Amino acid sequence: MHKIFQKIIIFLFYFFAFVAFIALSVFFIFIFYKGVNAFSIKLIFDDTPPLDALMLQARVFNGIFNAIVGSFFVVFVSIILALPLGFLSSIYVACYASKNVRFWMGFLCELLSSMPSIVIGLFGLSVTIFLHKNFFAELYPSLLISACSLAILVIPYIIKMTESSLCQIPFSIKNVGLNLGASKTQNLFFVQLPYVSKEILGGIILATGRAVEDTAVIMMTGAVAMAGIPSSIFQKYEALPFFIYHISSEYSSKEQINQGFGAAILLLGVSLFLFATAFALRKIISKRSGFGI
Amino acid sequence: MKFLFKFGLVVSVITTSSLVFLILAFLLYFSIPLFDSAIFVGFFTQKWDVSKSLYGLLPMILGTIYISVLATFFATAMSFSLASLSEGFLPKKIATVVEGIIVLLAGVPTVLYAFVALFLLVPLINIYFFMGKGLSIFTASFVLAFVVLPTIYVMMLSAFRGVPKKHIKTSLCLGATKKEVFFSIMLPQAKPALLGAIVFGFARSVGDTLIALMLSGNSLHMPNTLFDSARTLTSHIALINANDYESVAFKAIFLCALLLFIFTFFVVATLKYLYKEKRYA
Repeated sequence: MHKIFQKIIIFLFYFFAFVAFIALSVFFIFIFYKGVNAFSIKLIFDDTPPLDALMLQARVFNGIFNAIVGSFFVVFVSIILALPLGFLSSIYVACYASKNVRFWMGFLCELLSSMPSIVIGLFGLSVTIFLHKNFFAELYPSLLISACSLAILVIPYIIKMTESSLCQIPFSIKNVGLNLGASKTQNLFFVQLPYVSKEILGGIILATGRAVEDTAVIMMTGAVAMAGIPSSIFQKYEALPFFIYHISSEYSSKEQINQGFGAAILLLGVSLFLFATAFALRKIISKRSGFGI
Repeated sequence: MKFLFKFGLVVSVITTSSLVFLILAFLLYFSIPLFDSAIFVGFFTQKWDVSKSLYGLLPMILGTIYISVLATFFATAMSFSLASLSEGFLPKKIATVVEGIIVLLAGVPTVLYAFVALFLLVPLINIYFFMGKGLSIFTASFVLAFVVLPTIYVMMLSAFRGVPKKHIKTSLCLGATKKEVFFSIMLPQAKPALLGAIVFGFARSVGDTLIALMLSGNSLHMPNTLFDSARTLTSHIALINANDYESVAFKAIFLCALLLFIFTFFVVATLKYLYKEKRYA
């Protein structure tokens, strides 16, 4: 009786795994088929000559070029904002903090990283409203606000990755510099940080991937459907994920759906590339001697 | 130079650790006018109808619970099967491939799942199964399951890997089959961590916005059956279109966010308590 029960459970395992596999492959085949069919230079630049658009000489009206540029900028700014903050706090937590501080920082980071992204978006919006009402009357939801909110979203990822890699350095390497007479700071900069540089890079790449894909934050804080290329960080902008969401809710023709699929395959390509790079980095690191993950 | 570095360390730690408190402070700042008014109980008992000035959040709360419970159920079924197959039964090479694929899945933007489902699954359900019920709790939770699948899978894998190798090898040496090892050694020992993975997956599915926003139909009625259209707390936040920042409708949004905040806090605190210092990435 017990054996039959186990056999049924194992059969169910295979069944569910099969269902998941089928559904996922249908998803990927569909998106690749549609996306590759729809993808073309015209989709990105419309009728504007690509070179002019890239040099910002001519405006693109009907392509996804604006969204690509907007996405790139918002992610770029957010990583620039998040990197020093996350990096420095993780160094503090890993090397200087007491056990209590480490516990509470870990708790706060986990809380922040599992916070729904829409809440962070709403936080960005409410800060904007607050500042707009009380201090800066010209401040509206804009690229800068989105970038700040995205930075809040990715900071815990950077902290977690950097901190865990710093903590996992083997004692033989951690202590050798100290024993030879280096100060704690010297040991950090010349021994520990170079040793974990690949992990830190991996963390940054993962954080970039997280920032690229997130839609909920940017739709609360300034991404719009039609904005052109922003000329300053205080303007509204277009972004790829928001473009896909917008198409899905307000498409009117087949061409627009095709455009959506083109944007989708582009976004999928970018984020899968980022994740695969981070994954490959981790594989390289785990092969390093004396450093198991 | 060294002083500057240490100063930077302290400043950035204070900034990052105060982010959570800042979020809480702003949510409270905007929602506190609602707390002392007579309509506060109404938020948890009424329907939402701005024209009759009813601002109940009950349909959204119910919608969130239905969608995320169902999604967690689907995701747990799939990821538990995949995780136990790849840890206990499949040959090592295939298991590595499966693991690689699913870890990569974590990189697929959520908006794409919703986008594809909107043009593939929704018409399918609309035409062949339930007329005009494509945008429903069922669709949203089925697609949402694939979003949380990699998270639960990775945590379950590490739960299985947390079982001491000694025990597994000893029982194999004593002549136990793979099946017996899995059911009587690995499963009982990994149980608490597996439950933690499910709880974490549930929190993830509550927090996701785009799937529910695009696939659940966003109606404001009380959901009754699986194929009803519903709205979640997250998509309710996303759908605000208020120009009047002083209105109750706008402030109720912050109450939604506050509910989500409290929920996340309890989940994270529970997991932290369960695992103590153990971390899952």
